[in-house]
Amino acid sequence: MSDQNRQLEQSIDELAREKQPERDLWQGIEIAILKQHTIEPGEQEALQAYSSNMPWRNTLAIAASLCIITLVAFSEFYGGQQTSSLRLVEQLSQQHEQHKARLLISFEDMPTSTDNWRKQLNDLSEAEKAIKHALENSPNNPALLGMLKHVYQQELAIIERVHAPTMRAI
Amino acid sequence: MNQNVHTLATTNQAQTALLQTIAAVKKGDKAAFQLLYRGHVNMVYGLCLRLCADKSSAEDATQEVFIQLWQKIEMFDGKSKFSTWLHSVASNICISYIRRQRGWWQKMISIVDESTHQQADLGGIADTEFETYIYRLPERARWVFVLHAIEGYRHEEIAQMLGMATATSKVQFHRARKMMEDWINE
Repeated sequence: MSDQNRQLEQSIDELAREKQPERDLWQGIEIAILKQHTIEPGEQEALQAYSSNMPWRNTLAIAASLCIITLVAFSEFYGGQQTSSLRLVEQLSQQHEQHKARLLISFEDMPTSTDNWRKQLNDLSEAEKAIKHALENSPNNPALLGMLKHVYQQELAIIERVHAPTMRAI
Repeated sequence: MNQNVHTLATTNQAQTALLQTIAAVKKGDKAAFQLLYRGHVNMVYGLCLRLCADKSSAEDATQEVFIQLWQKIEMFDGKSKFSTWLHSVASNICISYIRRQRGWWQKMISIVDESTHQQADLGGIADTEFETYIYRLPERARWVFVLHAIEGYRHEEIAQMLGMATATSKVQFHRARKMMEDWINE
């Protein structure tokens, strides 16, 4: 066995198998497993109030402003690969729509905790359109891509949240 | 001798307590599940971090492992050690998590700037130089190296987990090993 071999074997043996995460992951796990928890009357109202106070409009306004700023700032720098990037954005959107449709079908018969979640989804859909429009001019812009990803994540989170109340975990 | 007997008794007690905890979890006891989580989270996170080579992804993957564990715990039949079973479940869930995550967004990011992304991922996750080498390995080579050299899986098992030929797993392992040896020798 060569020296490097021996050293490698020794390093493998000495490697710490366990690592402590920097943040407590339990809360997120608990919220997810409490999804099966059934909603109680008092919680219904609290959830409704919680959801209706969510600052979607502000978020959308900030997103729209950022779209414009980043579009102007980055459009000068990214010239190539526009077609393939736009194609990927398109495929991503299709993938997201399929995922969203599957999710909606799976929750079809379940009660929702708020009435305005469709409105929230529509607002996010408007944000998606604005970002995609900006991406047409600046398809490789990482800030825009990040924002589009965030919007998609928010859509799925809303669908899951309204169908799976978790007030006990909050 | 007395020490050995004591150790054995302690081990047996711990094993019994673990089995009782698992039985409670199977009945839907969330407090018991939290105990199970506290006892195994570092092992699962360590594995996920080595496979993902990214702190944030490893945290998400760890959460996914435990969320799925809550649903799959019925499948644990007690024939193997719980930690061995959990390890196997965690490896599979983590790999499928990475595959899902690295879909379109990974492709996008690699179009934008792959080197920056790679550089950003390595920041602050390695405690030793050797860990830095692990995280520097190309993805497939890293998966095979971690699963074979560190976690002790056979190439046949790895091939099945990763959906590749056994020979490919071996090739990736030798590639990883060669790179690691070169880096150690630098």
